[in-house]
Amino acid sequence: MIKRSVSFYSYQESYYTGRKSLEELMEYTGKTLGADGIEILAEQTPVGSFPNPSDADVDMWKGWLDKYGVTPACMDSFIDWMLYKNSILTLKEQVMQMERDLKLASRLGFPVIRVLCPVRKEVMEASIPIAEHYGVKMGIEVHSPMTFTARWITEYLEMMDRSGSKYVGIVPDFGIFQVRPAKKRIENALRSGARQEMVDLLCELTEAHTPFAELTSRMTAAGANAAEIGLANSFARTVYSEPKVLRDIAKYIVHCHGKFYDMDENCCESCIEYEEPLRVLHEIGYDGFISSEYEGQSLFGVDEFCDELEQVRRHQEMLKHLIGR
Amino acid sequence: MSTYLKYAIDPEEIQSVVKNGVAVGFEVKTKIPYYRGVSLSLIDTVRISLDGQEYGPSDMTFTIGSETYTFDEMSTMPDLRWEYGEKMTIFVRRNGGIHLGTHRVDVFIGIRVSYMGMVLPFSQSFTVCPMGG
Repeated sequence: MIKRSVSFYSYQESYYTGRKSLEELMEYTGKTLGADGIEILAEQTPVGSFPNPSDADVDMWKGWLDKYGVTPACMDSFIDWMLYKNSILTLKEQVMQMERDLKLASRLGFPVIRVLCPVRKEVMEASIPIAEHYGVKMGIEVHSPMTFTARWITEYLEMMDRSGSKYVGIVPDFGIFQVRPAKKRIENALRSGARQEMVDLLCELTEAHTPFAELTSRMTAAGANAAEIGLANSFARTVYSEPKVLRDIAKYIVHCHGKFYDMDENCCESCIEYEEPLRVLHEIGYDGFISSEYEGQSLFGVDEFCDELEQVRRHQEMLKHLIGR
Repeated sequence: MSTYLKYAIDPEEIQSVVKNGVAVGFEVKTKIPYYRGVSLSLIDTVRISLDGQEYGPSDMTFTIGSETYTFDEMSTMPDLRWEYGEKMTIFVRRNGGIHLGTHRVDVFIGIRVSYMGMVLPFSQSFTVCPMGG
């Protein structure tokens, strides 16, 4: 059975502005939303101090997990290979950063860490014995515009096969199933002078998975104005993958990111497909977590309030409906 | 508009700094213009202008919590951090601080973001009218 979790990336504004603390967000996620799991960016909403919380901090964290009825699902890791101005960290130094995060994840009870897509496969490969030691899996995030057939990823998969380790895998991000601009982004464009018929044309093209270069040339040829081109440009780093691709990589999936931008009042995502990808995940017997990962904050203007908590609630409702629990 | 563009700096908190009755400079309080905390050594560039007069890192000190650093010190501090949501006070040395009246303050902060392979630029301008000084 697929389990529901929430990435606290979704709550970035609530935490940044001081409106909600880590504990309050855990309470909301566990008690109000009834999610099974939580995902944090260890360097965004740290438990105690990153990367070495005290034992008392870890005990407090575990107390919150119990109290609010949530399980650690995934911890997002960053490897800062540009740590110093004049040099790039060596392979060994990057593996030390991976070890730092694997150790922290293990202390906090996370079974998986999300590894950023641009991290070199050599870093993950060299970290396998450490991951096995700590009992924490490493999942490389496949995030649009990356695809599973890109060489960067096929080489990763070859490395995983060669290693034979269960501690390496993939975290697909549902942004790869985006089919049109978010409703909120379209509304913003319409307010800035985009015309409805041109927005319709753009959506027709994106729904047909038109490559970006062709998308912009077709829009320009149709006489698109600045607001319409701006809307088209929001697809510059969006490359669609067919949901069935999840079947091909089934054995590698260690966690899923349910990226979303705009949930409407009926708890429908306005731009990313969920039904079919979740059906495929169900068919392949995926029994890990999918995290709600809200990224619509930047679609709100300076005087508009972005209700992250409500957006996440709607997304969890949708997942509940589609997963069946 | 991203979270940090909206909420990093409260222009009300751009103020003169007075020591022993003399305005010795001004300060800008800012949260990190990025979606997570970072090592101090990842802070690549800081520039602040007052009415077009630009100040660089050598004119500044940086305070997080109870610790104050120079820019050069921060560049050697991978283990100390500027956490997400935490305010840093940037003090800019300037005789007289900010004079009474309305002024323009431009803030630029660049953080090295490894996965993007670039310095992520944050640039904002404020019209301020601080009291005192």
